[in-house]
Amino acid sequence: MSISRGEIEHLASLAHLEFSEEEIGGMVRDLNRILDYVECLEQVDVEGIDPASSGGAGTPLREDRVLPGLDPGEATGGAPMAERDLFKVPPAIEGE
Amino acid sequence: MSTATPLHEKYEAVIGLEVHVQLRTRSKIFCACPAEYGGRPNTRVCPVCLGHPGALPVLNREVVTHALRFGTAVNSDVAGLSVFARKNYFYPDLPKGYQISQYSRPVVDGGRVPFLHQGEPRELRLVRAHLEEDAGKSFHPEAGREAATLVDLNRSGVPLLEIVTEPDLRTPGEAHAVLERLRQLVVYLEICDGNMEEGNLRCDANVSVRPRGQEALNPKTEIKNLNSFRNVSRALEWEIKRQGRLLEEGGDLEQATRLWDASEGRTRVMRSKEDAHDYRYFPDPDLLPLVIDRDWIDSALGSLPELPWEKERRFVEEFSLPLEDAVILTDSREGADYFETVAGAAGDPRMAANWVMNEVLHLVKESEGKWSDVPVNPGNLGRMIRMIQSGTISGKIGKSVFAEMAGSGKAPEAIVKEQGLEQIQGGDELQRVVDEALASNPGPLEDYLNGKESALQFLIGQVMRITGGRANPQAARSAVKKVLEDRRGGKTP
Amino acid sequence: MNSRERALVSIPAGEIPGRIRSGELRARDLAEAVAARIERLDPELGAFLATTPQQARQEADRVDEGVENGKSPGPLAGIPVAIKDNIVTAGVPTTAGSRILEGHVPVYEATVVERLRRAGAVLVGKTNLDEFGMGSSTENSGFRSTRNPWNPDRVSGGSSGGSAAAVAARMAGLALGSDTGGSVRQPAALCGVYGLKPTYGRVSRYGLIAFASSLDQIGGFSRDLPGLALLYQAISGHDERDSTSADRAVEPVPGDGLSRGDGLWPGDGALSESGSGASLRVGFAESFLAHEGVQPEVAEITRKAGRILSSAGLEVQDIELPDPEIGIASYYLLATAEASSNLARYDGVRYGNRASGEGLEGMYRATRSRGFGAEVKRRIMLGTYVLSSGYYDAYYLRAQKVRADLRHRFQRLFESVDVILLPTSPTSAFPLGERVDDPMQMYLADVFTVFANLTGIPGISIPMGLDDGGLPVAVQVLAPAWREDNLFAVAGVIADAVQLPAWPDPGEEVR
Repeated sequence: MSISRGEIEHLASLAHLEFSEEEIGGMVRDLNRILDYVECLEQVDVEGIDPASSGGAGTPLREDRVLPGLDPGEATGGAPMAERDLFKVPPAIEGE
Repeated sequence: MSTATPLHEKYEAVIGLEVHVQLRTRSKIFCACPAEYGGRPNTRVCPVCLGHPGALPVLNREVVTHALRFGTAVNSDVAGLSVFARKNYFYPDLPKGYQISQYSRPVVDGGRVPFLHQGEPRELRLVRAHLEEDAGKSFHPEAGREAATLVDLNRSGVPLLEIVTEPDLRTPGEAHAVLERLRQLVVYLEICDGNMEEGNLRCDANVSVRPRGQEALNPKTEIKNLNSFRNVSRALEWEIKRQGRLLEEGGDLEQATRLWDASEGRTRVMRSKEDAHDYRYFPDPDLLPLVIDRDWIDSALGSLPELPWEKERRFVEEFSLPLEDAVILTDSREGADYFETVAGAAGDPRMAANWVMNEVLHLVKESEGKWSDVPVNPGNLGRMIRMIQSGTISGKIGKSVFAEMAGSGKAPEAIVKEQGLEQIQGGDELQRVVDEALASNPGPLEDYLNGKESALQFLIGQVMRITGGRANPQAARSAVKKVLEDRRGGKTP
Repeated sequence: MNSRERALVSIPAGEIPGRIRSGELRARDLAEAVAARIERLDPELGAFLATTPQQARQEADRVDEGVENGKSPGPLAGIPVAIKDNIVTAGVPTTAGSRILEGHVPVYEATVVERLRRAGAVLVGKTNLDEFGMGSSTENSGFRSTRNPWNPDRVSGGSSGGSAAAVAARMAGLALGSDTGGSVRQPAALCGVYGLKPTYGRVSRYGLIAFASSLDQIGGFSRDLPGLALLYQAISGHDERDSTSADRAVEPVPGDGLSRGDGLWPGDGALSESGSGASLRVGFAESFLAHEGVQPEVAEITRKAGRILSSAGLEVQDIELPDPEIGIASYYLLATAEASSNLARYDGVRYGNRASGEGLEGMYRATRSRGFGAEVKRRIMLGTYVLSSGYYDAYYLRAQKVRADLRHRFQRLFESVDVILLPTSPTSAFPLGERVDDPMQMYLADVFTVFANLTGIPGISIPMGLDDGGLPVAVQVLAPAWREDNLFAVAGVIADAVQLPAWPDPGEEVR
């Protein structure tokens, strides 16, 4: 498989990154080299392997106990922009 | 426009719901911050739910226990191994750039929920129910300053159970009934407060319209932002009409996500299929698979209360109530318990049902749905009903005793005694009243003696009036009649 | 540099707590010597991104007061420790080597840092790294490159190059690093110090800024094995804030520094006499040494290590390891996939830096495009690709299955051997700038180290001396999960047989 400029642009939008034309060219080249390299994985017989099987131990569970949160203003103290204890960002569209 | 068949006869809608249930826990799903609603912005937060670099999630046991209660209640396959996955997308109120959710191995797989629609018993099939963390809250203040979005992350990390139904629903009414049922169920299970205003339950609806008889599904619309049951019905109605008209005009439906605008009463496109997210789900490497052993499932099963549909059935069978009444009485666990206490004390379930549905529900409404705030003690009400049954007081007096109980909270025996409300069954007291009634109504008396039978009823009414309704109507009738018969027979008193 | 200062900074970490407890050495004096050395050497070396001399003095004073008052000052009493800058420190800037986090001051402390403080360690500063741990030379740092203390024209390795260089240059007694694909062991090899990557789950990751969560593990650097053992003991053990942290006891390792003579230390003769060490079977992959790009001296010292173990009575047998290409390929798919998601949180909203752009989306893009360096963006792009719809099965899922297969294969290998001996890095330190434009070439630096991360097993890099160019070379030993004790045992045997060169004094000659 090889990756196209169009795909790079789509990936960039998924990852919220932007690239110059030149950078896109470099990205196409680098990613394709890596993808060529990883083709070696096709030699490995992975028939019937379930990667999700846990070695028995499940994820640990906490008891439902409350600890106090941060002090007022502490959460937003390191934010690039905040207003009245709220994080502030350029306008987002309602929903998602 | 021609006189074509109405749209709803020509087309049918296929509806599925995604219901987000906020689970009732003290702390959040992956950290120890309070899960409580509200609070000063960004104070119920910590490095974990703020998505600070290096912070890691640890699962809250109670969240899983709640999910197991739901899963066993709807008779689903509860997974022995369940996996948390990351759902990757950007939004300012999603701190990590991904939501921890479940994808290929949800905690609850399948399931069935019996419900009633227009009196008919139906069954809703569930696709799944999975656990996930809530996002924070964005505000989009308009006035004055430059446009901006403000974010409060107090809600970030609050546990949610997302219930996904099969597309088995055909009308907004059915969707509404299903939502009511799901809300009732999660409140019965004590896993959710069921408070819509605080966003305890949120719903997205998937709908696609197709010509009746067509098997294949048309592309669906996902409607978001349905924050009340009423809005679910309204939005579905609007959207079904939109899709029906579009088909009628020969247009093609397109898969899209639409947003319900309650103020304008319409849906608007939020995202077309081309812009659909690629969420890139993958197992969250910060959490191991969730292992649920048989004991845990069994103890969830063992802890289940009597479920709404079980209660309904029992009320019908045990108390010989009509189904509609059983449905009303089992609407909430507290209400059902109240009724059963009344019925037990009264010894007459049907009469108890009438009193609870006619009088008590009124008071419940006044106390904003809180049964615990109803001033009339159910045992008192039951004993009062028994007093009516035994003839100690009349039904009419019962109403005033009830009002007195609601006001003072006193026991019915005390009220009846203090106010002398016992029914007059006969004897000298009744005789005196009858004599008084006849003496002060010579006209009707004359009429009766002259053969006008209807005057009897009037005279009995006078007896009731004088006693303030305390006279036993049967006794009053025979007493009046006896005197009159005697007079007809020529005897004078 | 005065000789007293040199003598102080040269004390092996493993000896410091004992000498402080006995009153022979003051933590404050050591802290001052280290601070002075950092101030003098680091402008050239670039091992630190932040130093905390004031805090170090206070912590040292506390240790000294404790000793004076007869209180136990903790097992790491007075040891100057450097912390890789992807491990969060409350109140001390933590950047993970990225411009996007420049100026970020964490509101909480990583578990390992808490444990170090409790153990009496004196934290001297935060060390340089490849941005978010992504690199093998520390040239991908958003701030500066770290030079190799043995030769300033060479890389220090990476991604924990700053920590390795700080310890090698005696600017710290011990250092913490993190190892995702070799990021502790490879720079340890290139800087000639010991570097340990414990079993996945042995050390809490709470507070480690994630690169690839299923592969990341905090480890440590030391010039002496007893010091490394102390560090390992101090940071290991269950932490309920990390779901992947193992709830199991940490076995004692030989030579925990307090007790040469405790019967566990190889030099005590315990290995050869009491059996457990002597009976260790060593797997040796001769075929690996013929792998493309392996420097002849590296192959030679690996064979030499085999001979040392053999003559110490250990049974050395040739084994067949999986193809290293398979390791690299699955590693880069899985690590980048996880990274693409782990780095999504750097969006300019809650912390770190923001760049302005048009609207919300413009802000996101500008912030991330300017805040991340080229290699980080490359890996985010690759990781996004391998998880994206249509490619998930072919790349991510396949790599996960290969990883599961590798786990089984190593499990089977460890049925016939107790440890595996192989090189750490195929070469000694390469020149600065040589590989920066060739990502694939850079990735091959991890060719012998990624197996340990993919399978979760522990590994240690053991310095073996210098190559002809005067640069350190090293071997690596791997053991089954939770058997760090065997790593220390084998390293002890080698340490006793190898005469290491004097530690470098970078910049001192020109003085």
